[in-house]
Amino acid sequence: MKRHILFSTLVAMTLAGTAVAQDFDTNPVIKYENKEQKVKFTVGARFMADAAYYHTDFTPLKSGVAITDSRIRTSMTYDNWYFYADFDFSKGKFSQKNIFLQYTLKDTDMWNHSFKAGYYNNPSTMANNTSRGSLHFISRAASSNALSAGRELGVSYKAYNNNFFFNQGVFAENKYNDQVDGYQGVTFGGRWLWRPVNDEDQTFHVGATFRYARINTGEEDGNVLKTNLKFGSTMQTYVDDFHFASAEIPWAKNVFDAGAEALYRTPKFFARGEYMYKHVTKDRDDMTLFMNQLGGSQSWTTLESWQAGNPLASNSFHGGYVEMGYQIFGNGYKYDNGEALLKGWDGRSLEIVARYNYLGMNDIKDGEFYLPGRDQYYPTGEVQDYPAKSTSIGGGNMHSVTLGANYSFNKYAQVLLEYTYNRLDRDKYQYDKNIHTVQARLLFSF
Amino acid sequence: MFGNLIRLGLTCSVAMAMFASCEHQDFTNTYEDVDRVQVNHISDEMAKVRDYVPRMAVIAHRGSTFWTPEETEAAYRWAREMGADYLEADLQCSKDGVVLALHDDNLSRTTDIEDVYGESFPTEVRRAFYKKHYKMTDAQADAQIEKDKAAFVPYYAKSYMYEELLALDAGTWFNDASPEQGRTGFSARGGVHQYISALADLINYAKGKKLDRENGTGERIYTITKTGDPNSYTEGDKLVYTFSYVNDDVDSGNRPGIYIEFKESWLNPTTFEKDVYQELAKYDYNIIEKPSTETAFYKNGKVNVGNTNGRVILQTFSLESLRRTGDVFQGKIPMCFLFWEGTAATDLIYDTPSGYASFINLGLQHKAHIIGPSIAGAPNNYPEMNAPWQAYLIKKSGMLNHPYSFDSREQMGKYFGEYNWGNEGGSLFEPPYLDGAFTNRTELTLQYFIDKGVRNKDAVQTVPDPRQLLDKLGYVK
Repeated sequence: MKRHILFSTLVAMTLAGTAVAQDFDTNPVIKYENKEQKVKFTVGARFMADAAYYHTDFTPLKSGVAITDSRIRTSMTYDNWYFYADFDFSKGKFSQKNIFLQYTLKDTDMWNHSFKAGYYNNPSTMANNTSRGSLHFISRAASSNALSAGRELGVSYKAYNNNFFFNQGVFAENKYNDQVDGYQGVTFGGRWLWRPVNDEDQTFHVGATFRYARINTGEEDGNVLKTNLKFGSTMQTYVDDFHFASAEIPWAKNVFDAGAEALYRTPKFFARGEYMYKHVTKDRDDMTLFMNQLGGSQSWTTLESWQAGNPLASNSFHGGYVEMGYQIFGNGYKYDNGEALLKGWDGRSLEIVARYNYLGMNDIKDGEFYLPGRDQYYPTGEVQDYPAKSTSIGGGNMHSVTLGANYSFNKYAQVLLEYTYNRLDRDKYQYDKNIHTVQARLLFSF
Repeated sequence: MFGNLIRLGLTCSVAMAMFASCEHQDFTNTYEDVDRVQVNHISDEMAKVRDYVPRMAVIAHRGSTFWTPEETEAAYRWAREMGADYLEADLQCSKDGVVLALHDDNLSRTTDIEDVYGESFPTEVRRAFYKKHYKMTDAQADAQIEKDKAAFVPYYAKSYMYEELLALDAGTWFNDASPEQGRTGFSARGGVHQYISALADLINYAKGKKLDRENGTGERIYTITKTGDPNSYTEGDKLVYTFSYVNDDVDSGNRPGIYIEFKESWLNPTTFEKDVYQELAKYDYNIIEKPSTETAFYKNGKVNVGNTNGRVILQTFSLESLRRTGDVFQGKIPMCFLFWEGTAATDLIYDTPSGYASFINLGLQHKAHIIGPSIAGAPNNYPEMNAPWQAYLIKKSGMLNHPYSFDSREQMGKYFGEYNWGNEGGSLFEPPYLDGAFTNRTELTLQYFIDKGVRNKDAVQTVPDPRQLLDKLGYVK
């Protein structure tokens, strides 16, 4: 059986075709087309190996090399139907990537309409919808890593023409329904753009994004469902994925993400950026928790006193980035109308890129005192024994500046070199202020 | 194409060579980090107060937990006569405001409260108490008792009047728990009634006194005078207990200091630190009110710490009490900030150089002069918070290091740098890793310090036999 599967795969990989799949960073080499059956089949792969050297003030990061992407990608097109799936095996672990089915109504009054269902990126972000192979940077900006949504299981509807782009969908909270307790929450996300200029010479788009998530999954303890939201970012690197900036928000219930984005492109130059704002409200079964704590000599005696001693408040975070690139030689930057994204490289080219990123994950109430030995904020501004419950989140603020140069040997192979300086402000890592990263990547995609 | 391949190969080779040549293996290194974290240094003014405390002080933890029932008259008399520099005690508060020298908040381990009161509210005793000492009518007393019941927690010291606590036997339990060290003399049944001590008792034991007891019954003598109006009685209205003491006939002249701990802040009134300030002043033990000109820690072979400005050391685990103590005493009395690793409200959670240093700095911020870290080892097996790197951070701050609590010679050898952390250059950090010791075995610690030559030469260089001393004190086997 194994031999049969291997043989079939090899046959498929050696058949040539002409279809271009939008989810491939590069035009897949291995294609099979049956015009009678109106079927196209493609197979591709992508490989990334990164090397990184880190210099930190205090907390070490592990310099070294790592396979950071090892992906097999397939697609099949039948008439207006398009199926795509890819799987990652980097770092020795299987990871579910995209898998979806899309139905397209083409050229309807100059509009392109499509419906998509499966597991793929929530539309509410430009950065996370840009494939890593087309990014022009080794990593997405830290603000996107921390604040933007990733892949989710759901359905979406997209419509675009030359001047407008609308993409919105509804998604589930968990792709495998393997949460410990609770039924799945729901997410709505969208991205809406206007393209006042959009031709071969230049593109300019501007728009807004929004995402709402209702968190319903968690862990039951004492008849109370405890929800939790965690997010954060690496230092824009994959070799050591330690999160200097991170937040954990207990009792998170409603997450509102709002953003704005802009992109400008000419064949020689691009600039793009996003601003992201995240607001998290909370919900807690106070009465049950109060009841659960009764019966001890130190118990709170009234619900009101318990609530005063265990305050609950919403939290907000924000961030953004601006990225620019200049192509010294090559076939010029191109824009993908259907995805409203900058495309990756196409043939031999050399470019220089730069990025400024800001991530604001410190939501600290004025006047609070922080004690590193307990990683705790004290709401009265001085140490207390009990109660001392703060609603502050000291996830860390970070400014990052990246400079890079990317060389494409051809349309399949590319090397990227980057230097990033991060300036961190996080109470938990009080001795870590300056984090330097020098990175290189070898990328091969077909 | 061939040129591209060569370029790709060269690029990869250079990158690999660059990273392969990074010989410095970077990882978290405690021994390096101790010199990279910020540890503040004690101020000159605070250092003067720190120096009120003798080096290599022997601190008799709860008097003695090994030889006697802890924090009782027997324990403190024994520790004083052994030659300890300090008598250590935990402070709590009775319902009627008496400052207690008592460790456990729940009295069931170290007293016979389960037999005397059980878990019931002592209604009859309390009614009689209100009628006798507040001159309340039955109706007034019953109304007050209803209020008291609402806040009553069985077995908790703060739920009982001190007179009610004096009915308890704080000695007999020890004979059951430690049969080898137990003595008839510790028990109210056939021996000397051991009471839950008051701070006033502790001070008087340190001064060479013992309880004044009635002939015949052997019960302690005290009087209570009322200060409150029964018609306007409010919580916190204090009675005045006047305790009677006599010179201890076995007093050899040692005058140790007292080392008193503010317990978790929620166990006591928010004014507790101020109350203790006044209580110390009342017995001439508050050097802010009445400083001493005596500076000799030892005189004529006797402990003389109790006559110096080092006569009182304050201590606490509580972050809130640390702050309040700093506010009330202004760093003018030596203060020890105790460390414990854990996740409770007062614990150090992140026992890293960074976290540890932050607690030292918190202590300095709130005018502490001493750090008291827990030590590992049997029988208590506390968390290790006095490893050489931790002791180094304390030393770096200019504070004193008083680890707790020693039960064996092995532990003393360990923290003196005698073994693998030793004084033969085996450690990055210079031993010893202590400037004093909370000890449950005063005799062992004294002998160890004498043997090592670190006991002050003006102090007596012989250690009494602990059993013979108990016999001498009248606690018959």
